[in-house]
Amino acid sequence: MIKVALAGQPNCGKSTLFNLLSGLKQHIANYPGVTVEKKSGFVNFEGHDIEIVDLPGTYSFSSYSLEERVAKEFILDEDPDIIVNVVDASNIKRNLYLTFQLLEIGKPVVVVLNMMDVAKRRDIEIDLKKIKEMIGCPVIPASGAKKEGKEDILRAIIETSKASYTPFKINYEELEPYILEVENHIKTKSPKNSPRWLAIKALEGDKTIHEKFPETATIAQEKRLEFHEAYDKDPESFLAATRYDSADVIYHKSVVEKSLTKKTLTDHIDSIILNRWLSFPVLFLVVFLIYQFAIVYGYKVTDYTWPLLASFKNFIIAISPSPDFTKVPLITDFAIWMVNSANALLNYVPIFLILFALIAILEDVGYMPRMAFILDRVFKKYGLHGQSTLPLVLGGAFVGGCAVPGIMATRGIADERARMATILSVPYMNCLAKVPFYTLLLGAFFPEQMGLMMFFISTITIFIALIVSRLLTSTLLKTKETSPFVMELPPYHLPTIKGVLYRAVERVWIYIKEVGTIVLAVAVVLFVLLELPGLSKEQEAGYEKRSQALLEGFYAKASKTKYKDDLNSKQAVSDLINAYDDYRAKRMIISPEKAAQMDEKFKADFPKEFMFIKPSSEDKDAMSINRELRKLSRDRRSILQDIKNDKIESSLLGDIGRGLEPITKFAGFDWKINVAFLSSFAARESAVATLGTLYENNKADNMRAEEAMSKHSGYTPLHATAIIIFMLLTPPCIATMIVVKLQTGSYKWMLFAIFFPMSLGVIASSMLFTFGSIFSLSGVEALAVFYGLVVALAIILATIPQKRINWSGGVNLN
Amino acid sequence: MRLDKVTKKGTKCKIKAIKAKDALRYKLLDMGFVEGADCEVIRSAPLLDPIELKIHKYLLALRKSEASLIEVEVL
Amino acid sequence: MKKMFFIALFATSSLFAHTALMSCFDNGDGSVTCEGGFSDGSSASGINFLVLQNGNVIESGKMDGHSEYTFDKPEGDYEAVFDAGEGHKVIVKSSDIAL
Repeated sequence: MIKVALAGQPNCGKSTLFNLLSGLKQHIANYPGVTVEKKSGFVNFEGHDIEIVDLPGTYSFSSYSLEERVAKEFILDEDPDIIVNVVDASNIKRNLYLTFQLLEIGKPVVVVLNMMDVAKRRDIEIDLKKIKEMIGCPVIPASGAKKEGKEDILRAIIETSKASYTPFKINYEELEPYILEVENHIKTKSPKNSPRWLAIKALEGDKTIHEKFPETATIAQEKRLEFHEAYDKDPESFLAATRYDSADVIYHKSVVEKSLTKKTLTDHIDSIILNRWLSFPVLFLVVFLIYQFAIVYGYKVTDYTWPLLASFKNFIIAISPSPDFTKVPLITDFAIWMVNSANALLNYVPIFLILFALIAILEDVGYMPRMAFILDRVFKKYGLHGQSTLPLVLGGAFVGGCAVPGIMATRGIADERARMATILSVPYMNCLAKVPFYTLLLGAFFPEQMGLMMFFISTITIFIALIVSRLLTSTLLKTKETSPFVMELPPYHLPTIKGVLYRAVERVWIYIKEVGTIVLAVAVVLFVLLELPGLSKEQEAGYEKRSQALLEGFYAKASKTKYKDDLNSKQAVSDLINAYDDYRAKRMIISPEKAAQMDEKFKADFPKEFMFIKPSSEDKDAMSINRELRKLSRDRRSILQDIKNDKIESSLLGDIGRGLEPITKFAGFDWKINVAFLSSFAARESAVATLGTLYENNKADNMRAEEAMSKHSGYTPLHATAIIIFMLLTPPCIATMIVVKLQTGSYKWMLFAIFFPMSLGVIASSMLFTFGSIFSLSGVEALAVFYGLVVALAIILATIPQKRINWSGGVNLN
Repeated sequence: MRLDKVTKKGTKCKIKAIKAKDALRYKLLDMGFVEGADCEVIRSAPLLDPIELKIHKYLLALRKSEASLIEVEVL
Repeated sequence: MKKMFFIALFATSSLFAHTALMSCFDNGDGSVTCEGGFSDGSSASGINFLVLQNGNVIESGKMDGHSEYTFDKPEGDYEAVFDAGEGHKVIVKSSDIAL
């Protein structure tokens, strides 16, 4: 097995090449102890087994970023046989800077000149043979985008593994004697890796090397000072300058650029995108388009995928034990509850697919660094980074979004502190699933001012996110690493369809796998809490009586018809009513064209029942049974509804809800609201359904849930505002919490991300309610006051300079 | 003069020295801010910070606070 | 103009809630029953329901507590409309309401 490490600078097309070389046989894990992805691929070529590990893209092999450390530790610990260096052919000079460092490691290197098609387009002529001669290793042309070069690269790897190798050396002139001294010291440790490389790194001040060879660190430090005394320079600038000079030499001897002064396409596009006046409009346009496609059109797609989910639900109901009139088996209840939870999550899949694909396109095209460039100045004041834009937008910057993809998108943020701040503030943005909840409350309590209130709600979130971010970076995150902003603006290039799709599917799969499993687990817990202890003996008896009365009524009517013998047992009636409900449910989701077909099938499956479900108009008796059947079904549904209400009232969850009342009453919440919030933890959508159920007692009144709430709950608009504020601040859902854990790699932060917002929510809504009651503010006024305070706070925070620790190092006093 | 003080679009300069330390220093060196390298100021961001430079034929964004630690000679 | 903006903003948000559904049955006794619902299971009781014929509203009301509405079958072609607001309208033609 030949072990190959794939290294290269960012934006050199390394990932595309990796996909090209290893195909679908990839394994994704994390480097030990960090949240950096480790991609390994396996390929068998001409009888040889090759393992390729895709190292993170790095500009250099110093130790000042997580990626560089990870890459270096891989080389130190796992000792690959060959290093394949992917170089951007259209920018050889700068890429060679890394190449030299890789060559110095003391392992055989194969250089791949990728993006040859771009170089050709830019009239760049490269003499590959010359380069090969000068650096003494194979130089293979390739184009990942055009899928060219795979075999040549693999062949070069195999040939190199068999060839003899002489360690590569750059002559560092004045520094050489110092390198030698440190090298001699290291040799006494018999290291696995090239002593010269380690010596050079030690002289550079490389932290990773110092940690692995502590005594050498002292010698290296001495030599650094000596060199500085002698030449008034430090080794790292000297080394960097030498490497760049060497790269320059190679460049001038092997590359001819015919159109150097011509403005590239990238320059032209940037003159629009980064134009002082056009940049913001363009930014808004891009964000708006992402919304339009992902969310609005994505929802249209769910119109087509939803029937699939509904059919699945009907299927589950069909294979579950049938209800015995009003006694629904626990298993069936459970199955329906689980299917509903699963479907709520799965319904988002089309939206996520489109969203992730669009993000992948945006990433590949190269627009993200431009966004960071435009917005950095504002975000900097709140501890965020220009690259926080996309996560915040995804989390819901205007009408709504989803925190799950938002937090997943923080992966690219280089600055650790800003990344953490982003992860912890994205959940405050507008969660799509909370919208039905707002709609319900606004419809009930603010029917006149719905538009205004919704505007408040949608726009306040970004200010809250900024405030939270600033708060956290000044306190809890103060000690997190920050990185220099120094950021490359890569040339624009077209994304590959395969790359985009692969990434979109990969991310959706993570969502389903990681998030879905936990949400379902929570759903199970919630089910138990809602079902137990169940109905009391008296209640059960009461419902039994009601059911019996209904059945008696039905028998009475049925016995007047010629079918009385078919329908005189509870079993027969149960079967009939179950078939009827099944038919109704299926009919709801079927399109008119397929209706006749469905009827035929139903008739064949349930011949006995079908004649009553769709009676022929000549058969008066069947028609009469049909009428009774419909009435029976309706009345049964009423009973089931009542049973459900009773169960919730006496359930464990209800007890918890009541238990919380002493605290939540300051916010104006009663136990029913508490239960709705608790049960919606699995998925926010359930909040509406649960609240609807709890207030839906008045079937006869023909009221909508909104009206029922406003008239029967005893709440005032001020209550509603307090509820809205609470909803605004609490974390979106369990799914979000899981992704926080995934991205931060720690349960500690996940718990923080749950309890901090919830406490904030309770405090804020309580304060608002109490304050508003004292001053007799209306719901709208209270929200306006809150809004004003939030915006003011955000602006004030922007003007306070951040005091942060921007230095490190010093004398080691141990 | 300090790089952050170079405001005119299209100004070409030569790097003279890096006064930054630690992570920033390494990063700048890695990105090619070595003595004698040529760079060109392309533009500043719409909100005036960061600034965009062209060095070693590629485009780079730098915060003004970072640019203030780079000494250049205006050509 | 401002109102339009708010309405558009708000309307798009309610779009995100759920898909509206309706199915209708001819009861064979001169009446037709339409049952409404939403894809996320929320109740349709209280939602507006109309019967249109030649563009005229010949009957209107709200879905009852069981999300149903029963009306006398009109002569000739007609349309049953479940109207839950912008983007949430379901129209069932009489020609599709089979016996």
